Amino acid sequence: MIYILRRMAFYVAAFFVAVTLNFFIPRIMPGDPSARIIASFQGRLSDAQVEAIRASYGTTGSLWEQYLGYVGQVLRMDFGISTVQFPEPTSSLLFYGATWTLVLVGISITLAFLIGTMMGIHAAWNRGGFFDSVFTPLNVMLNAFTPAVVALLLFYAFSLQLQWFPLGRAHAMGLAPSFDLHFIGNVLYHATLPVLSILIVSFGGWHLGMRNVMINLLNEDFVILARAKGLSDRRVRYRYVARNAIMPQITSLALSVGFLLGGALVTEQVFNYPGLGKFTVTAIESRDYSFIQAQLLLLTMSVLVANLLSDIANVILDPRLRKG
Amino acid sequence: MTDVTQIRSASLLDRLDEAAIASAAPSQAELMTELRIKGRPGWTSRLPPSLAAFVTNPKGMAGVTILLAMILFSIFAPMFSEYNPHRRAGKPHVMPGYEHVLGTTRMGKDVFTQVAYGGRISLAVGFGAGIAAAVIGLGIGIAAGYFGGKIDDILTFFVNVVLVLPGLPLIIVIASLVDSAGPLVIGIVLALTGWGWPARTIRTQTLSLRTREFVLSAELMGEKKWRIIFKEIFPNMLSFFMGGLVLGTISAILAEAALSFIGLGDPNAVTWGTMLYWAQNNMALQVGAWWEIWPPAIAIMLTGAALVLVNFAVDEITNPQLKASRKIGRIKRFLKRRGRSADVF
Amino acid sequence: MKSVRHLAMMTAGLATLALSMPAMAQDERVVLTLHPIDSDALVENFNPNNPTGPQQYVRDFAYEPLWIDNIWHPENDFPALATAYEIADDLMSITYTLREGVKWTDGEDFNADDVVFTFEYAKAHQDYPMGIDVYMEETDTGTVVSAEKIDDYTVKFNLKEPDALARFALGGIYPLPEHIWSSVEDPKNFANTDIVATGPWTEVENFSRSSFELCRNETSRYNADNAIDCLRFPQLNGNEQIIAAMSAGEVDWLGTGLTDPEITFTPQSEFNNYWLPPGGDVNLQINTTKAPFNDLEFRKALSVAIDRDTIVDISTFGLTTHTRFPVGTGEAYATWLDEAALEPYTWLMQYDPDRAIELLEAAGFVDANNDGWRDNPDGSPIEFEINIPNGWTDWINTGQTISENLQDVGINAVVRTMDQGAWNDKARTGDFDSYIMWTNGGATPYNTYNPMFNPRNMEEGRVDYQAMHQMRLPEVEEALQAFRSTADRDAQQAEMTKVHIAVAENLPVIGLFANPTWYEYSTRNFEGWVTEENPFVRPVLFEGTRERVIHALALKPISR
Repeated sequence: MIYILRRMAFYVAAFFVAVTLNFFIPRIMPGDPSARIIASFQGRLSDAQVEAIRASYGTTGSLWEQYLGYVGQVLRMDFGISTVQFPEPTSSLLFYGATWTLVLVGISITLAFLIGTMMGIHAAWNRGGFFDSVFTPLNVMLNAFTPAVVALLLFYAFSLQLQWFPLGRAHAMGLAPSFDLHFIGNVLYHATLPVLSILIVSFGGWHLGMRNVMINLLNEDFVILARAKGLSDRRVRYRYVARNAIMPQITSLALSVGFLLGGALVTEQVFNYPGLGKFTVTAIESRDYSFIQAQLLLLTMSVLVANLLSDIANVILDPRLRKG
Repeated sequence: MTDVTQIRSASLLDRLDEAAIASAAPSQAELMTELRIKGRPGWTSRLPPSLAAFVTNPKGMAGVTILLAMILFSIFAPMFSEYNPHRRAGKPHVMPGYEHVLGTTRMGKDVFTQVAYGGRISLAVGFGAGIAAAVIGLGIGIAAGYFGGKIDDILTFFVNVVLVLPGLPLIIVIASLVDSAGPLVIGIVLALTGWGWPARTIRTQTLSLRTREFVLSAELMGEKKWRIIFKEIFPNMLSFFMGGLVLGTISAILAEAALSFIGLGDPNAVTWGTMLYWAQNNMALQVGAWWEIWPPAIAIMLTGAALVLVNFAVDEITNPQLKASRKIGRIKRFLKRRGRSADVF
Repeated sequence: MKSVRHLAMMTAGLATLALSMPAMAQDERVVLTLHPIDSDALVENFNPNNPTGPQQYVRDFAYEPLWIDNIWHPENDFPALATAYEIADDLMSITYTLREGVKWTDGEDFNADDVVFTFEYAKAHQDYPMGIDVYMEETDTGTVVSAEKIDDYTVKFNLKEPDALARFALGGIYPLPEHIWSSVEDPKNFANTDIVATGPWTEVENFSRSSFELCRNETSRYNADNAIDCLRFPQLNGNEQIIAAMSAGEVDWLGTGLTDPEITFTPQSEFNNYWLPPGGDVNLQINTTKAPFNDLEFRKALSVAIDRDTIVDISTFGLTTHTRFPVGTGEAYATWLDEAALEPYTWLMQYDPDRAIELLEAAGFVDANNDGWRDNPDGSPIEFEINIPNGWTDWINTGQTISENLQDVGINAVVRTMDQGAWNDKARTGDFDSYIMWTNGGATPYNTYNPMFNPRNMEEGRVDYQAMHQMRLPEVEEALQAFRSTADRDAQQAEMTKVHIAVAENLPVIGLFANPTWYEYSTRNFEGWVTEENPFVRPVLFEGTRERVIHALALKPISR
């Protein structure tokens, strides 16, 4: 319990560091939100109008006042108004983008984790065998391929040339989101290529991680004992070895959430997938402070929560940690 | 057939009849070839053990060879090219041929020159950021693990913050801060955000080393702390440092490519990432100018693959179990051919 | 192809779902899909003066202006909410006769009160630009002093100064219904989710973040000729995606940048068509308050050192067009060019590096410190950046070509790109040595030259994008003033020639090329498109081109 409490303290501290960073980072970038609005009029504004716009779209008060106001907003879960899509509340766009990022990243990360881990178990169990010596290096090499090229090739081959899959979007145009089979099927159909492009470059890492940890465990006494007791291969493999090997994997899974939320950016760009990455790039270009802040906060939060969950999972899986 | 062999080999072992062994069993030399064990240690025996382990590792050497080839290529190839990577060298989208070995881009720049020249920058950014991140990670990891206490708490907090901070989005923001994110800027940002993992591994390793006899005895003998760190702990961290370096380099090369591809890099710089950016913007695939997109893509993939291979070797050195597992397959097959149970492994 | 499609769906593990899909309800409506602005997600905001997107969707189509100028055929304008206008003899006022019998979609009558209200509303809400240049006493800026209701269907706009051109701007007023907007306190934050307008398409249907439709206004006077039931606006982003969407039949009308259209666009679908008539010019802007740009000979050398053939053919993919005279504008205003008077200046637009070197040598720009680059006559080094926003790839190409050309004659110029936010920030304060810049358009070249030479745009710290050169040319200011003070075309022509000659003499900006007017259309579902053979209106899809509604109304579905 003390262990969990200590971790919690860390998370609270990290949260406030992140909140503060999130506030200052966009503000030290040159330019402010009104510049884009003014630019969009291409010189058709009078001076008075320019001033009025700067005052109302830009930011008012000293930096310190703004910061206090922002912290207050964060605590009230109020994320302000987007200037890219003025005056849409940031939270509604963020929620929309986050939903689709979760669909995209959620499916990809789950599949990559499952496929990679299963392959890792298989490779470790038959270490030195054909599968291990060929697919382990191969899968990990895929990990080092650029998502950009993989996504582009998939898009070009299957969307443009063969036209097996749609060009982009999360679902067909004009289809209203609902929870029926038709809509879900449509979403999965649209997500296939984007998911594939993330999957291809990410499952190798899970494969390697699982394999390496498992190989170390295979020679541990408890495994030898289990086999000596005559337990079935299956049982030893999954109940004894894999169960123990999965813990570091879960920690990595938690840490990779932030990476994937950022990493999906290229995929979202290529497949016009309405995920957070695309919104974030636009927001940064247009200095949409409230969106940048909210997005960074969301990312940090999700990573922190994922870490917390992994801590808890580790405690459950490894009783030794409970003593702290 | 199997049964016969089994009975015979069992009886042979029972009787320990050397003459019979000599006539029925394969000679030692044959066995060694079958198991692919070298007879004499050769020149590698004179190298330090970890280096020798690396040199004798086929994956590692393959990786190093590819990497060296890439590095030499990017250092020397631009010298053989008469073209300037930044300037137009011919007509747009010339097919690969005599004049332009890898063709030209949409703007008429020589792809070969750009790949070679871009390699210098991409590799420099990758290795620079990878080395820097690994060095920071090494320093902080050892300090946290060795000194412990308050220092550990504070350093671990920073390690966790860096690990938790979302990488790519943060890079985007920082990159836009300096309004034009040239390769140097991207490299620095990647170095500053990439040291979390190596620091974490090295701290854990240092923690376990700290209580080992040789460190304790050095402490008892009154060695200075920094001497202990450098003489006793650092050498044991070398392979973890290498691991961090290799992984850091891969992610830096990929991140540079991704940032440039999205258009957040400096499109004037010639790197593999910006080459992809231009290729995509000029619709090289749609136009059929495969030579504009494949060379930088393959260069990145090759470099990544080579680094992965090196990482395999490093893993096997830091973790002898992994190295053993490489041989286990052969031994299993060997035993199987002789009808022995391979279940002991 | 259909079976392959299903196969692909099966690989996604969806075979059963796919087969059980209910057949899409047959859509009997005629829907025109068009894409006027990129976005990551659509928002439910239909405020006609919101520049972040809604303006592109609802102006012209839902909210009508007073008058639609037919820029290409001025003799054939399209009256909209006004049926006639009259410019006073002293050019101090314009009187509009409003269309009678027009009803807002909620049944209220449209009349002069709405127009006067709209003017007053613009005056009261400076942070909500409505396209009306209201005169403000505090700052002494603006041109329109007041709007007067003469009777229920006549409105008179009083001007600050005699202005023969005011009608172009005033015609572009989009009247708001007074009975709705009078209760809107903060218009810039108003989402206007329930459109009350007079145009041919006013009803929002099937709104989602990925597309929405603007459907027929049942009370519109256009209904007799309007064959299109709904306009559909899809969410799209990125040229590659957008072009692919047209090839796939998802979009009918686009204004997107193309790359090698003969390979990447036309062959992709038999219905894909494009036409890129020359649009506004693009210039290299240089800060003439600084050395070396303050030297006319240097500017001349700059102009002849640039290889415009390469820029047009390669850097901009052969889609831009040449500009003949060094006057900062080009073919878009061809009728205003006095070719005989400008003939002596054509050499400035010809690529001639030897001449550039001669000019530089003669003016004392030599390599004084032997570093391989030319220096100023006073010995200080010349080194400058050509600034371009990130992602504007054809301009970056152009900049790179220019820097190559200049380096060839010994001038150390490099391209520097920066993220768009930073660029906007710097451009607004004139904090640049040189950049590549579009020119503003309008009904006459006055709209291009006024922002370029109005001294108000050159004030320290608030330099306009167009006036970054910061060179004050009194003769141009006078000629422009005279131009808008007369309604006589010949007199205007004479003044415009003065402007042209002054610009060619002084080279405050270096002309590069004319941008294409991006226009792509699909003949899959509709016919009646503007073509090179039948250019009845400007085919531009974007807000600011009021004719776009006329274009849309001219389209008829192809029966299949």
